Amino acid sequence: MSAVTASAPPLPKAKRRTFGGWFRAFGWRHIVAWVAIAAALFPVLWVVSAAFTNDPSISSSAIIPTEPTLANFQTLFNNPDQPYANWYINTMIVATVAAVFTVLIAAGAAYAFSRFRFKGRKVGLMFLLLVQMFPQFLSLTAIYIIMVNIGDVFPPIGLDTLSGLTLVYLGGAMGVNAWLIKGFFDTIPMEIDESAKVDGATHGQVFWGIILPLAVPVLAVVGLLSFIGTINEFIIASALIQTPETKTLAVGLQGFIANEYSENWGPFAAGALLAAIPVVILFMFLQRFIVGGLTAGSVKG
Amino acid sequence: MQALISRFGGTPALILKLVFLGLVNGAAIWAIPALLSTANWAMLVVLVGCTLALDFFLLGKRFIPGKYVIIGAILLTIFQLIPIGYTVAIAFTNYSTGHIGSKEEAIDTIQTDSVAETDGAVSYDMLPLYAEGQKVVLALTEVPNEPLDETLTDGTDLGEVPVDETQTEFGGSEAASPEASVQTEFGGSEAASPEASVQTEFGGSEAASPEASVQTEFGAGEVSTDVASSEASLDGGDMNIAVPEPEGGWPPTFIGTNEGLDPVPPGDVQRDEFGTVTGVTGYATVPEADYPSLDTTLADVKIPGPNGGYIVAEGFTSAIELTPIVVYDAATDTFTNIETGVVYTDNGEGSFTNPDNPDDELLPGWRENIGWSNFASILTDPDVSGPFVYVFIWTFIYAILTVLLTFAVGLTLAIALNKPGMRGQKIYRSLLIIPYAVPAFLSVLVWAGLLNDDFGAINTATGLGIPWLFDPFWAKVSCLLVNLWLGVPYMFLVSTGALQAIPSELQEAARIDGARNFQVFRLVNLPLLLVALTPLLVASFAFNFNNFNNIYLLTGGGPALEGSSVAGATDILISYTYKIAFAAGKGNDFGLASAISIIIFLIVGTISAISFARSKALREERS
Repeated sequence: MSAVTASAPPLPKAKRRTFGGWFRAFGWRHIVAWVAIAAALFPVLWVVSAAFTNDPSISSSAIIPTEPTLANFQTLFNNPDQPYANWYINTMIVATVAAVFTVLIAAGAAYAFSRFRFKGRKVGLMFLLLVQMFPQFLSLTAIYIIMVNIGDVFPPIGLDTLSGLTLVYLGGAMGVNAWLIKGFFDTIPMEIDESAKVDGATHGQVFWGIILPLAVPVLAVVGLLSFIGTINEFIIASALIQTPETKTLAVGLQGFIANEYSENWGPFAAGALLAAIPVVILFMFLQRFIVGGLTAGSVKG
Repeated sequence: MQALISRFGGTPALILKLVFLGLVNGAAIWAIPALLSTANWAMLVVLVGCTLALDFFLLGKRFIPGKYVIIGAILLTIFQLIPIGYTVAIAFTNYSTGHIGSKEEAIDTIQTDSVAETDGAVSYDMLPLYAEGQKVVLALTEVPNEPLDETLTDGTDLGEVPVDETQTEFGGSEAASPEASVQTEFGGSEAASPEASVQTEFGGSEAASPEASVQTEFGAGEVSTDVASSEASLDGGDMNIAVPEPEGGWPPTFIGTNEGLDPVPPGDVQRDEFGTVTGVTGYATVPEADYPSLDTTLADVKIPGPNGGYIVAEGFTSAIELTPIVVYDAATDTFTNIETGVVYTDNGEGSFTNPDNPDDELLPGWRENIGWSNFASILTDPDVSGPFVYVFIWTFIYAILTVLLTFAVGLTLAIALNKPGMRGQKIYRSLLIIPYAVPAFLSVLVWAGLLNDDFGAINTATGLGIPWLFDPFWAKVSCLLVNLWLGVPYMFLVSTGALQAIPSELQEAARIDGARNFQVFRLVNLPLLLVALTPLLVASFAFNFNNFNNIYLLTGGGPALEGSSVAGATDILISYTYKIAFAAGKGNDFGLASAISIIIFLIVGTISAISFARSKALREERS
């Protein structure tokens, strides 16, 4: 505490907590926190305000709209050229389906690598890591041409379809996710499996009935990260999807404001708000798991 | 335990599995004839291989772990491994706008396209007609060189002008014509595929545009008639509404098919009052509703003409005789220009060029393996390497500064809030990670609005008037600031976690040894933090190295960079690559884009590999 005494004011230190002392111990921390929170939240508040302000000019700077209105939301949903409702539903469907199947595919791979010993197991694990280093979007051109070919034969899963887009996303499902889940599976004692097998359980029943329920926290993290990742994905969706009704939120909203930002600002803010709400709620709901998952990697090493 | 076990497995699961396999096998069997007929061997092999693998692992009992991996592995193969292999293959080709099809296709297109109006040839007024069996034939009426009726000629011209434009664009050799709108950009890459059925698949946007153009052509033709009649009526006087038969009779009319021209007896030709041919006895007129579908038929029309060329349709109302400028000689594999005598030879890089002037080339070229040329041009061709080096350096600066700044701010916040006994910590933390919870693409789009220099809130609120997104320097600052905003919550979370994991005994011991607060931090906390967080910092670097969304949605890579039509001042390698492949004004260069993709992969892969090799997960797995 020598730093404190050195610069302390020449007041008798009768009380243990003078203002100066409190400030040095806690006060500055509150100030830093509030400054950071202001910086973090001001764009968010600003979008909320713009969503409820029926003012075409983007520069209206009142944080609390003087005359709150839902006009922007009405505009948003009544523009046949920009079918926002379709984008929203498309995105939620693709992200949900991709998240569920990503979890199942990655958990399946993790189960195989965690519970079975077979030839090529280590090579397979290394291979998954290696492949993951080549992000999917780097081979966008090739993916595009492959989707054209698939679409020639199976139009329902070809180019410009949501199912095709989802399948492309699932191509990147294993990789790191399988590693993450395998790490968790490895901590579930093998004895549990073995005792179930003694009771007559098959490998499938062990997987679905025992391992998966025990691994819910890590599955939730993988699912949520996949869900958010899919919602955020822009580059592949923008290349594969052409029809306005089939677009995702990222592609649709980007086009929405790409040219006439100032005119579409209000409806855009409304659309951004509606798009963010479910994700933020889900995030807050699973925050505990996510923070745990993020820090686990760091503090273990 | 028994109840739990019996809930999973048994008959329902088996039925589910069999239904799934039935669907997959059914689809595969259904698709095989189609793939055979189009000779799509690559896809056939993949389809059969994947289906058999699925059946083998899911039905068999040989290899249990395979059951849990196979579906993911198949998806990984189709949408990750094959694309990687394909990307590598493309990187060694000149696959790009103008180099899309095979050499045979290129030769055909050059022969069709390199034509000029035949000397002394006449143009024809054209009327498509149906012969027996709905076969399309053309009633061609010579247009005298001296205009018989000015208004009529004017009218026809009006109808033709837009037709000419659209024809060059869509019927021309370079289907991947550079277009401004996003839809057509991808139209380019779509046309890039050699498959003929691509056009159909594209459905929505691309197929819609030729149709729209057909409408326009047709409409223009109609309008022209109106213009003609109104002009005729305005002129009045000697130019009366009705056009009388000229002295010496009407110009001759022919029925044209790809076999040749067949003169029509003048008595069989029906005309309206302007002298325009409206029908020929023995042939049915084409109903208006059929016109849009005529487009493709007319494109194939190639009638041997009287002057040694061949007559092609131009739009719906006229035709002209054309003669090839260049002639292909299969024996020597060269084209010769009839007029100039220049011989164009295969230059080995997918083009016919004039050996004396390599820039004089016949379009289109074809897809050809060009070895390391793409990689070499990145290093040596100033047009490519200049922008590449600029983008390359900025990518590193961007990724490194992002990691350093986000980590510094995140760690500061973590230290500030990591104090036992501090009130409100939980609330603060929840509020601080909100930027992390909002989907990043939304945040970036919002920031693009906030930073707009005309109406953005930052400039209107502060009155700074800084061109945040339109000045090369400030655009870079904006990219870093926005990424800082996006990245701090993550760094805050991981730093907090790492700080809390440092045993407090260590800090106390340091204090007892006489260390001051800052010394404790610098000598005890920071080294431990860095040990724990280095893998995450490396991962963050790799992520931001390829942070396409942040750049592309904020600045679009702009503002434009001097000396490059593709790269912008804030482009990072991945957005630069994307633009080269899909969005550049010059067309699409998939070969070069793939080559840069591979370079990106090598950089990120090397860095990740080093990091992974040091990580604990791998060490455990090795032991």
